[in-house]
Amino acid sequence: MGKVIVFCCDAAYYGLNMVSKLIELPEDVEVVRVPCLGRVEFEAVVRALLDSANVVLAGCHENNCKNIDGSRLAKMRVELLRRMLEFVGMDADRVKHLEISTYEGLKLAEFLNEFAAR
Amino acid sequence: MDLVEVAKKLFDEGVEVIIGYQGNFNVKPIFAKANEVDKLTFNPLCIYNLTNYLTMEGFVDKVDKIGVVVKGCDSKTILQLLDENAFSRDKIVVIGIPCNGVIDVNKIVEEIGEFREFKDNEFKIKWEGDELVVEVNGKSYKFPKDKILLEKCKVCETPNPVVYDVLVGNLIQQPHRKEEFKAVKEIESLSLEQRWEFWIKEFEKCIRCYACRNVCPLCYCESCVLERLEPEFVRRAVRLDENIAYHLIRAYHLANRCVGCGECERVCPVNLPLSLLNKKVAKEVKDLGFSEFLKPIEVGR
Amino acid sequence: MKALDKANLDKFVELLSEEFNVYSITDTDFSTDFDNNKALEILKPIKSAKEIVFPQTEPLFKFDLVGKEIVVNEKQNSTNLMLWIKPCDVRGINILKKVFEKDVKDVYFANKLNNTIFVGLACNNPSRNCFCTSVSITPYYKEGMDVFATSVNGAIIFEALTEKGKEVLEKVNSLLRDATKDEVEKAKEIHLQAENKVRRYNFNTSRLTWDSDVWRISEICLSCGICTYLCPTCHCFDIIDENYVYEGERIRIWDSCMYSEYTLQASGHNPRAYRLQRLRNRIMHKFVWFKEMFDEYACTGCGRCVSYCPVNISLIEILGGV
Ligand code: SF4
Ligand code: SF4
Ligand code: SF4
Ligand code: SF4
Ligand code: SF4
Repeated sequence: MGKVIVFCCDAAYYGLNMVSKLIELPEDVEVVRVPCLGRVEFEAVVRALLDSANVVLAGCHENNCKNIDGSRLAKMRVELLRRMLEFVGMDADRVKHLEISTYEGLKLAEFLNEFAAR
Repeated sequence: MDLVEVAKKLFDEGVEVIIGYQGNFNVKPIFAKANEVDKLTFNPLCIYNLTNYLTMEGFVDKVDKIGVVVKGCDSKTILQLLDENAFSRDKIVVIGIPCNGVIDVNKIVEEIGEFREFKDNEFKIKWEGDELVVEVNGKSYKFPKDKILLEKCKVCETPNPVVYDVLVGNLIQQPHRKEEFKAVKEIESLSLEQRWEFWIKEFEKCIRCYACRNVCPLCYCESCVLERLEPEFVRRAVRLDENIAYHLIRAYHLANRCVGCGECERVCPVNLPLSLLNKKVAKEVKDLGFSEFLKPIEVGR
Repeated sequence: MKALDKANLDKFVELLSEEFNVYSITDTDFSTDFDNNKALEILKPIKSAKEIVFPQTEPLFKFDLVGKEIVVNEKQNSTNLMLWIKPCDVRGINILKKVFEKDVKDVYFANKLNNTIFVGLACNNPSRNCFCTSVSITPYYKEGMDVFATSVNGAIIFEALTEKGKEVLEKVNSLLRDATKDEVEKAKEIHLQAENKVRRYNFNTSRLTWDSDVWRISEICLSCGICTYLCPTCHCFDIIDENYVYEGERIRIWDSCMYSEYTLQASGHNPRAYRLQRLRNRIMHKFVWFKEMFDEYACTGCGRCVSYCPVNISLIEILGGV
C-alpha cells in the first residue's frame, strides 16, 4: 500500500471538509489543496508516481468549473498521461481523475478509502 | 533559380544572414553572411532542422532579417513557432526546398566501405529518380531509395514546404502518404510486462545529455523545467526512475506541438527510440481530440 | 607470452567471472552483460570507460533529518575487471588520474581505480574518426594496463604488465598455452598495420587563441554536451544534495562545460553565457591549459566527439588538421 496524494480543487476540498466528521480518511492519504485542477502541473504528478505514490485529481464537473476550462484540462492531461504510462509499461490505474462537486464529498472520501486499500 | 542565386538576391534585398547548409560530404549548418553566399548548398545529406537556431540565444532579436533554408518537414516547425508567437513573421524569410528525402551519412560510408574521410570537392551526391547516386573521385555508386532513406522520410506527408517565401526547385508530385503509426502499434500489441522490459532497457541507456531537448526546435523555453531546482521535478541523478520522469515530461511538453522532424531521435548518442514516444503522444492527441481544443498547426495554410 | 585459443573464450570469461566483476564492451557501454564473441569485434562502445572509475552518478553519503545521522557510502570491496578495454580509453583513465590525484587525492576515484584491473586489447581495425596517433599514443599503447592482449587470427596473445596482471593470467593458466613465435611476429605486424591505418594530422595548437576565428563554428553548436559526456577525459562534476522529504543523499554527478547552466552564478551573472565561450573553453582546456599544466593533451584521439556531435563539429577541423 503506497501513499496516495490527492489534488483537490477548492470545490472538492470543501466537499471533503464537510464530510470529515462522518468519514475518516486513511492515514496514507495526503490532501493537497489547489485553487483549480487546471493548475496542477503534470510534472508534479509524474514526480509523485515515480516516488512511488499514487495520485488522485479531484475537481469540478467538466461544465461546472468556475475557471471554465480547468477541469477539462485536468481531465485531458490525466487521460494522456495514463495512456503514456500504459505505453511505457507502467500501471495506469495509479492516476485517477474524479469529477467531484462540493456536495459529493462523501463519494470522494469513499473512493479514497477504496483506492488506498487497493 | 538555384539556391545561391536566390540567396544572392535575398542578400541584396536586405537579409543579413542566411541559415543554410554547407559542404558536400561534411555537411554542416552555416550562418552565411553575404560574402559566404557561395558556400550554401543542398543535397540529400542535409539532415538538420535549421529552424532550431531561430530560437537559440535570442538570435532573432539580434538580427533584422534572417533567411532560413527549410525542407518539407522543417517548414512545419515554422508554422508551429509562429502559432506560439516565438518571433514575428516579417523577421524571417523562409527559403523552401522540396525534398526527396535525406540520408544518414554514416550509412553511405558503411555502404561504400571505404575508410577514409572524403573531401568535399571529390564527393557528389544526388537523387536520380528512385536512386541515390554517389560519386567519389570519378567512381560512382548507386543505392535504391527504400534501402537507404531515413525512416521518417519513408512516412513523410509533406515533402513540399508548407510555408515559404521563395521556393528553390520544383514542387514534388508524390503519392499521398499517411502516417499509420506502425511502430507504435507494434509496441502497443505487446503485453504490459513486455513493454516495461522494452522501455527500461532503453531508458537505462540515457545519459541525460539533453541533446534531444536542445536540438528540438520547439523546446525553447528560456527556463526549462528540467533546470529548475525548486520544485525539482526531475532530480539530477541519472537513474532509471529519473530518466523515466525526464522522458515522460519531455514527450508531454511536446504534445500536439511536435512536428515529427525526427531530430531528437537522430542526435541521441545512445539511440533511444524517441520518435516512438512522440508518435504515441501524437496518436493519442489525435484520438482524444485535443487538436480542436489546443490550436493545431494547419498544414498548408 | 601466453596465448588463448578463441575456442576457449567462453571458459576464459567464466573463470574470470568467478573472482572478478567482469565488464566488457557492448555497443553502448562497458557492461557486465556482454556477448563474448561480439565484445572482441566491437572497436569501442559509445560511452567511454571512464564510467567505471568515475560514474555518472556517484552517491557520496546519505543523511537523515530526523535522527541527524550521516551514513557514508561504503567503499567498494570487489574487484572489477575491464576486459578488452582499448588503448584510448585506458589513456583517458591515465589522464583522469592526473587530475584526480593532483594535490588532493580523490578517495572515491582512487578506491575505484585500485579495485579495477585493465585487460586491454590492441585495436586491429581503427575506425574512420580515430586519430590517436596524432595525440601521441598508438593503437597498441600499453601504459596503465595490467594485461595487454592482441587478437591474432584464432588466438589472443597476452602480455602481463603488472603484478595484478600476472595474477589474472595465473588464474586462467589452465586455458593458456605458450604463444608461438609466428604469433608474436604477427602481433607486431598487426600493431604496425593498425598504426598506419589511423589517420594522422598535424595539429596546430597555436591557432587556438582567445579571439581566433576558429571559434565561429560555435554558431551551430547546440550546447548539448554529448561531446563532453562521451569523452574519456572530460571530468567536470557537480556535487548536489538530493532531498526526499525526511532524508537525502549527497551525490556527485557529471557536469558539462557546454551547458549554460554550468557557470551560472547565484547572482545571476554568467561568465560563459554564450556558446562561443563554452566551445572555446572545452577546446582550450584540452589542448592549451591542460598542456601547460601536465605537458600533454587532454585528448586521447578516440574520436567520439567527432562521431557523435549532432551538427558535425569536428575537433580535427578546429585544430587545423584537415
Ligand atoms: S521528412 Fe520529408 S521533408 Fe523531411 S527530410 Fe524527410 S523527405 Fe524531406
Ligand atoms: S539525447 Fe539521448 S541520451 Fe541524451 S538525454 Fe536525450 S535520450 Fe538521453
Ligand atoms: S520532439 Fe523531436 S521530432 Fe518532435 S519537433 Fe522536437 S525534435 Fe522534432
Ligand atoms: S556535441 Fe557538438 S553540438 Fe553538442 S555541445 Fe558538443 S560541439 Fe556542441
Ligand atoms: S576530445 Fe574527443 S577525441 Fe579527444 S578524447 Fe575527448 S571525445 Fe575523444
